Amino acid sequence: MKILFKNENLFNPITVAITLIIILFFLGNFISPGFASPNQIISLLIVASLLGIISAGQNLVILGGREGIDLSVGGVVSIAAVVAGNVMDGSNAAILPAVAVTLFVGGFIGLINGIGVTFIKIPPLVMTLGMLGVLQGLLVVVRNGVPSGNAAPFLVHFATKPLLNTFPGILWLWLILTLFLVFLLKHTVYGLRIYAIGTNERAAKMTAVPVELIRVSLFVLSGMFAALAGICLLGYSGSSFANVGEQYILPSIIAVVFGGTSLAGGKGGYVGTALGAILLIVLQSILITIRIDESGRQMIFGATLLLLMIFYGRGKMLRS
Amino acid sequence: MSLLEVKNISKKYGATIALNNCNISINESEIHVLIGSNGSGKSTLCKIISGSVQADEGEIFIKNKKKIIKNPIDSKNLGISTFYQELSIANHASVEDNVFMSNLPSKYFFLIDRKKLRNSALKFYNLFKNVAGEDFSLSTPVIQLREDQRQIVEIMKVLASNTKIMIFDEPTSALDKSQVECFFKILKNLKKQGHSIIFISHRMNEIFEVGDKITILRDAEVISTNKLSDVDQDTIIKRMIGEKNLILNLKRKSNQIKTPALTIRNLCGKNFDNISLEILKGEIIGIGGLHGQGQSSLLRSIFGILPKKSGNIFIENKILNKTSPRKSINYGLSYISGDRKRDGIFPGRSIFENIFPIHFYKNKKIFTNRNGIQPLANNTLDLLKTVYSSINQEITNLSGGNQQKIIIARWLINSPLILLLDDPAKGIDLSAKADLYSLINQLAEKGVSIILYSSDDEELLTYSDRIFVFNNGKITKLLEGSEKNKYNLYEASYDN
Ligand SMILES: Nc1ncnc2c1ncn2[C@@H]1O[C@H](COP(=O)(O)OP(=O)(O)O)[C@@H](O)[C@H]1O
Ligand SMILES: [Mg+2]
Repeated sequence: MKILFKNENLFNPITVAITLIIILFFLGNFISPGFASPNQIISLLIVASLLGIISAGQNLVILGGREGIDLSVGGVVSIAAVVAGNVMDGSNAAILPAVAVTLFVGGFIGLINGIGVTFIKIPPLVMTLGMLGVLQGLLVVVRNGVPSGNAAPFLVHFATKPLLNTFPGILWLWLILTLFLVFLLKHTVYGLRIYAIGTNERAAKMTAVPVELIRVSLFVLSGMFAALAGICLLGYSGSSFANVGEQYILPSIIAVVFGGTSLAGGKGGYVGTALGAILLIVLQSILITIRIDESGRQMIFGATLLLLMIFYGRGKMLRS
Repeated sequence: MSLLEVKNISKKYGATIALNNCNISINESEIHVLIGSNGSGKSTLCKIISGSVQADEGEIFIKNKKKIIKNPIDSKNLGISTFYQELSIANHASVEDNVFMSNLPSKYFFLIDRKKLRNSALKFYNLFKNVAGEDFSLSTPVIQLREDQRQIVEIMKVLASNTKIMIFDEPTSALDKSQVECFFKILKNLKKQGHSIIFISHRMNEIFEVGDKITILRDAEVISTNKLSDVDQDTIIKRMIGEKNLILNLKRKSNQIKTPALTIRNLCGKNFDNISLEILKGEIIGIGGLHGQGQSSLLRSIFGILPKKSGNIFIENKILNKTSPRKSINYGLSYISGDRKRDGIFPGRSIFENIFPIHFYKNKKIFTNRNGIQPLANNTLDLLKTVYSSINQEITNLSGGNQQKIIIARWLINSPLILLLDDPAKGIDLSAKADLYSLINQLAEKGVSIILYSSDDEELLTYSDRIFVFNNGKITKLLEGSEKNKYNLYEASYDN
């Protein structure tokens, strides 16, 4: 029994991810000395936090089962950056209203996704892909002639510079979000109900779980997380530009799967996902260092997802 | 002349003896009926002949030549095709694809010849055209069909193979009268053409209408084979029960308070019709009869998982208008299904998560308070003699019986007033079963009202105060007092 337990720990996705992250840092440092310097690590973590926040929503939707997935996060991130940039338009005083409006927009998009999936029974893949198309079209229309706004100085500082001589604010934000999600999934009834609808929707219904409400709420949360990431991204890059969000769609799914969350739903958690996000960003950075271009990286990421599916799919079969 | 002969066949599944030294012989141009209560081994015998299960011992002869049947293909090559009780159709394929699944007509070597397929399928479709319902067509995917229509597809599949020997394992269980008549016309025709048919059914009138011979099985053994003209219904039922089991009426100690806990008036729903019954506080009501006569649907409709069409449900004196699980739970109803995989467990999640959902709901909890509520679970699990190492253990790592106990504990920790038990002991071992029923007795003594449906007649007879026998979605008989015995139960179940 003990030995079995140990073995399980050894192949636990969290252990695997941490090990791989360390290996990648050593590898990176070997290829290009200075890769693993503290400053460099901090800037990688900042990039990872953007992906991590998007993946949080992705994670929740996937946990809820019924083939849950949210491809629209890419569009929401882009829209959010535009909306936040226009509302605050370089003024610190307008940050709070900008955040509020943007989160509302993200949540609203998620609400439509959630209603489509839950009540009209459109498969999540189709629903959110359609939504992604709508958002991308909307971006083109909105941008025609309208200048996109600028990030307020404080937001830029928040996303790039150390806060009170510690880490940048965005990393604190990510840490708090992580703790919040871990608590949510483990110690609240809402969290347990997510797993319940993800593993056995019928049984959940019979035990008075409000299945529909929870499923819709997951999509709403996913929209809001993506919107939050869009705001941070605005701060990180200073101003918004077209389709910044699109590149996050595939990685947000890979991070979740890498972290040990099953695409079938009902299994996994956020710590693994956060580590998955870090791992992907470190990997991406190494690929950039050795001059593999965008299309090459896309290919490698896609192949990673497929490999992961094979790996975890096999594990599932072996277990039963 | 005997066409198919099975000699000294035995089969065990682990410790269960499914068949013990069975002999049976089927002639040419004969419809041979098999009958026996649930679990007596009928399906196992069919599966051995059709090669999907291997016998441990025994031989099979076709036209007096010994044959080895290792798999379904061997069986098909020997001229045997089978209607499987659990059906062997592909859910996402169309009706016509299913009918010719094993030999799709082809053209250019590998393309399916759609035209030819349609033409050949049409012949079998026409046989059932008038009785199968308007929404039944050759291109419909099977997944969209009703249960009776699926059975018709499985029948068509057997007919299309046109083998000398055809086995039908409960092909009529979901069919209505006109469909059965249509099917019997086909069977009689086949017999005239020299086919041999094995036919399993629980309905006496069907058996007497088409059968030539009848073989009775009981507890994995062949009891007798006779011409149907030589036996009557009474003899058949007595042989199925066995003489010594005839009187079985264990009395349960009960001090009933004569106030009704749950009253049902003229309830109609999916698979059941016009059901009225009343349960007193502290009473155990059995609902019996053959499998799938509407018992399970009734329980599900009461609990609000299935919609009811009409009729009323009263809990004490309050009427329950629109039903839903949440509402039922608010009223103190509990529903425990024996199909724990489908209706019960959250696989891969901890015992903790599997026990407390109802508790969280009833107490309107936001936080789980793991440490605070753990003792509640431990106590109930101990009461049920559940074997587990920690409450954080995954439920799927437990044995079936212990998983079921977790599901039962889920409801018990919320002090239920009325328990709806839908075959709760299905597939769990004997000691777990005994624990379960002793607990049910204790609950009844404390005033909890229980409706018990069990596919095991013995359980039903032993533990319920009164038994409503279901037949075709209706209550055909109420057994109480000295009437509550196996003979009466079987007579009411098999009669129609
Ligand atoms: N695959 C199986 N694994 C274990 N036990 C089985 C299996 N199939 C049947 N049995 C057992 O064998 C016995 C005979 O079952 P079956 O032939 O299906 O009976 P019948 O068709 O007469 O109802 C029963 O006790 C049943 O539980
Ligand atoms: Mg059977």
